[in-house]
Amino acid sequence: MAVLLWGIIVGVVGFAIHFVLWHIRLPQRHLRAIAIIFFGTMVAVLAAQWFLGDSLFGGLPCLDELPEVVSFFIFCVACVFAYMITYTSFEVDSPTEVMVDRIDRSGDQGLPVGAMDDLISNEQMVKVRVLNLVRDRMLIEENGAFRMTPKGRRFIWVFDTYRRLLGRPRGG
Amino acid sequence: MGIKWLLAFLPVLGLAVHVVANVVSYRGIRRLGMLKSLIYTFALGLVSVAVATVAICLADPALRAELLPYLIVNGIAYGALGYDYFHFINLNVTARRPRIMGEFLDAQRPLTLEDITARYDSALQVRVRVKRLVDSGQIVERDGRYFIGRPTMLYITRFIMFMKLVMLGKRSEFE
Repeated sequence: MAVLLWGIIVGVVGFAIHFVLWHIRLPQRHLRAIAIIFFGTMVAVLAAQWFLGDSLFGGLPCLDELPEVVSFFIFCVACVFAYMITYTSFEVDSPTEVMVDRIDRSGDQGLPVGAMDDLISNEQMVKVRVLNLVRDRMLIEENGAFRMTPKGRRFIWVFDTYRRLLGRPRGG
Repeated sequence: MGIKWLLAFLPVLGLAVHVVANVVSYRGIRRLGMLKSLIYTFALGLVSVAVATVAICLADPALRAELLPYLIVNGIAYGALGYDYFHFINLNVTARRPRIMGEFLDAQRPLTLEDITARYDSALQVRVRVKRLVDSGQIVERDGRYFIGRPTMLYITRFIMFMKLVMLGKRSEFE
């Protein structure tokens, strides 16, 4: 019960902080800020229970044993990662989302098949993503050309290794 | 004490079952396809987690009263881990960032924006996505025009646009 209760509390408090901060000022690196907010809330909950004891929480069940703390940690990490992944779709426009939205807005008339080609420009498909990769420090620009950073190499190594394990061609 | 540790790690063990079964089934049964493989092996992991949670809680009298909360916690944690894994696979299949980074890996040299654009055929990628939407019934073509078919992607799109508006104050990154 304690794991579920404190997991929900971390989620609600973390999201409230995230919501308020985003309406005061958007951070430069959104995902990093979200991770700090939610994992910071999780650590604060654990620290409060550890240092201040059960009495602080007015009879609410607390995380008394180490396996419960581990269960709470796994619960929070899984849910925060799930939210961070979902958040990436808020940050950027996916081509599929743009297409479905445009077809929906065309209503009963429908969207001419040929109009699909003009919906998304090369700039939207490539340039914006490259600039995102520079912002996330996976690429660096030097003399008009881009090269991978060590972080970018690690990123693509993970994806490429798994893709080869599954025996799939490169997507995107 | 040992049984409580096992209970705590069940979502991770369930994920391991899901991942291994996904890789083996996808490589072994090609006609299954990635999406079906992901759905079936996710269900296998979920059933494993649920059965193990019930068995552990019923085996220990001190844990019997905690059966329902642990089922919910382990179910949500496993569901979230499965969702994370699904998106990791989905990034490999459809996302542009790994694709663009893959071009750098293949080239083994710095690339200009023109180099990348030349290697990445946007029109082809749009056609691939349209085909995927048509094949899955999310959009349908009638008399040379596209219409919404099954509304799943439409609902997801509306939710994403709503959240963009709530969190970022805009419907599109280009606004």
